[in-house]
Amino acid sequence: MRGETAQTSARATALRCLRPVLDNLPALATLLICSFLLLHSLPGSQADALLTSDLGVAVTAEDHTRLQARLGLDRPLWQQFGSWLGGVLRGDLGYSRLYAAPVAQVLADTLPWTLGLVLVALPLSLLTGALPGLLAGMAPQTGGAKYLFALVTLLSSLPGFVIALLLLSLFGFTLGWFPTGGGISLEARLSGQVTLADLIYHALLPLLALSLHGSVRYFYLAWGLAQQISRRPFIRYARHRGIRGAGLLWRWYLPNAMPELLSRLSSSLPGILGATLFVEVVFSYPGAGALMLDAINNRDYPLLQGCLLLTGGIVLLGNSLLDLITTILTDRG
Amino acid sequence: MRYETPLPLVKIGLRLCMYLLLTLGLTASLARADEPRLVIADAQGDWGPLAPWLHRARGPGYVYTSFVFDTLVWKDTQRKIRPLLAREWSSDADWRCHHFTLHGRARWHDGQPLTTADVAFTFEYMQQHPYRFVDLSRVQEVHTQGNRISICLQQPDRLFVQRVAASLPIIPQHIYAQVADPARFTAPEALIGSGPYRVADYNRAQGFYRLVRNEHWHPGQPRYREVVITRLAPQAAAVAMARNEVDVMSISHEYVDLFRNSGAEILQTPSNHPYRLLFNHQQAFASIRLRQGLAHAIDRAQLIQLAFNGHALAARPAYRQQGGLAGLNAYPSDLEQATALLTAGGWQQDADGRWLDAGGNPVELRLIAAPGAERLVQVLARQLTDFGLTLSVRLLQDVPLTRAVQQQQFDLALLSQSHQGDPDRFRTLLTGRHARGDQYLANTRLLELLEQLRYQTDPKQREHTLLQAERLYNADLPSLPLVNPLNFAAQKPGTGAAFTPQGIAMGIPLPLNKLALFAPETAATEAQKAP
Repeated sequence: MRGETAQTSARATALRCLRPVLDNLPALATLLICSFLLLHSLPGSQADALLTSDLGVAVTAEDHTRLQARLGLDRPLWQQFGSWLGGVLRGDLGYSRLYAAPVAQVLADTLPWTLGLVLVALPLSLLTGALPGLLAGMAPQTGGAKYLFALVTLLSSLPGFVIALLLLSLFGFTLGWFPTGGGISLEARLSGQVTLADLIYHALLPLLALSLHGSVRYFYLAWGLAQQISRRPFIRYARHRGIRGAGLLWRWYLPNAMPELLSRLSSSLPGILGATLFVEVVFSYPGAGALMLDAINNRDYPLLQGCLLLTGGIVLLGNSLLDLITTILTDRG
Repeated sequence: MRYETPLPLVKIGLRLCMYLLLTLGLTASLARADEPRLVIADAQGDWGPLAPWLHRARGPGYVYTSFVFDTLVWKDTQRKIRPLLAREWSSDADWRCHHFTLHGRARWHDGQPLTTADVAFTFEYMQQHPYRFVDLSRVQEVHTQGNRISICLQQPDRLFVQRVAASLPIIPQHIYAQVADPARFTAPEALIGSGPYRVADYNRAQGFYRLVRNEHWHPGQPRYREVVITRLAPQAAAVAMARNEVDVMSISHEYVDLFRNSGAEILQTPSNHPYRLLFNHQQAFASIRLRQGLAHAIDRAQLIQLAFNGHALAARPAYRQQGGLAGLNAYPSDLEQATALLTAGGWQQDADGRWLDAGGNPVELRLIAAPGAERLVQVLARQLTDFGLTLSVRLLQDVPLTRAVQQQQFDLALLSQSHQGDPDRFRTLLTGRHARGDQYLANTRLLELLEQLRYQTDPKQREHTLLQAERLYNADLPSLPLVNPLNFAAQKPGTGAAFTPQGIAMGIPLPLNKLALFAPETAATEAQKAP
């Protein structure tokens, strides 16, 4: 009897754990189908891109037709999508003609860089947004809070890549404090010895751009939460007891705002990932951003589909994991 | 007691001095001949694996691949054809068969000897698997006899050595014979060539190549022990060059002063990649008068000053960018002449100065261009709108731009293609066999001349025919070459980079000719210095 109950309970837990993944799967499928259709609706095909060269030999209509057939682009769209999907299910993401390598290999080269930025930028944006937001929300009538609010409002109007351009221009080109591009220094590339310090030094500006971009939503959320918390009796008692400033923030505001803030992490993942792709292009960072841009410009369909599958997969997995954690925490009360 | 100069001591001293001088001289010359590393900075960095079917078609992919794969002969920076895998060559009197005698010393990077069988195999294999930079469609047969190989064509071709033998990378038979699809052959063996360097490391994500010296390169030991090609923004490269960390980089004109201030030597050459304004001669600009009239409405000197800060030349209004203007209309900026020609072409100006077409409707022109030509488009559009024309401008990436040209979705297209190297490019560009060609088939005499040019062998006759064709093109004006930008490169003095007149191999306008950079006699090569 007890065994059956345990089994039922385990099944229920597994189902609950799987639900976030299942919930996110239709979104990924929609993304892949839409992107496939949109990409194919762009003017020109991969055959055009491969045959376009300033110096190459003359191209005949037959050359074009032959290449279209070799690439499988002469088949109906649904067949092309079907064979790509079949390949994915067999573990084959296709072949990138642009990079002359299997898509999985091209992605594997760039994945660590993009993932590194996203994984660090996500908590960083939470910290850089939530803490000032709570601080400002604790005393919204002060001059500092008003200035901060205005500054964040200004920041919120800027896309991630514009923030990246401004930072690059100021700290990279004008002041020369940070590298103007790349993931590691020239010395490290030449010597083959990459240090953590060098990696961090090159990642700082991209991370700063992403964190600033991502922090805006947490600032507003924390600002609102702080004002809600301020109205609660325990805060009034705490203030009566003379608790002020950082003490009040760390011991009363932060613990009460944190569950709400953390629950928004999953929803900010797509935004951060999207911004990362643009920021990578600005900083010539060796991630999936430049890869996607190249794939679009050269109509490298398998590569772009692979990139979207990868980024969509990261979002799906990240969201599912965060939802799962929330579910477990909710279960535990 | 007579003091005598101790002759043996003097002799010894003199010999010692001579020895020292010789040693110093030898050391200096060895230092030139055996330098540790050449670092090439590249704004993009990744141009694909350095093998014939794997490198990217645009940019320096072919040139980097030439460091790894040798051709039969190679063009030096004086535009002379030099021996490479072939030590001598000749052509029959009718220019149909061409004969090459190989160096016996050449070897592949894996140590296998390079033989005429490899050369014959390359021709056969590349006919089955076309390589986009070399046209072998006219090769009829290939014979080998000992160390000699003969290539016979369907028709005579006086430029075969320059056009094919100096551009076709020879590939190893023992590797490629088993490869069904070379565009998907990415095993490390795909990068085994016979050139001065072999690929030791390639990092796609970082845009990084490390090539190490082929100690057995048959012309002699290459100058640098290793060559590094690495992605670097121009600003970062200028700083690195000042620190002696980077040796050479191709740059755009905006960065000339930055690199000059970093102590770099600046090389420059006309790109011969002119921007030309293609008229839609099948629709809005079907009338020659309209095309000529619009040409007179453009101030090319202003385009050069405003769009290129003076770092460009007025393009020769014909195919070739070198040569005089005799017999050619330069289409100088002349608004009165422009107005007269447009009016003769059926357009008219209203009281506000706006141009109306033959039906009395305002002329609205669609101008398309690549994003890289944005400044030029701005200045050009301003000139044309000031002249009373209404323009809608679209900047399109490569693929949609090509598609728009092919599908006639434009009235004016600002395009840029190489006008150097293979003279047959004039025909392919004009007839539209090139993806962004003029597609101009209206003048049959012009087409006949260009067809004749393919088979003419006498230099004087060829020059005469080409000039005639250029004059017809200049009069009909399917497109108008506007501006010939200058190409720049920055190098650490003594690096050895130099532009090749008419471009490397089939016309690539880069300063990285391997004979200038790596050949043992590199030190003697004079680089073109910018004034």
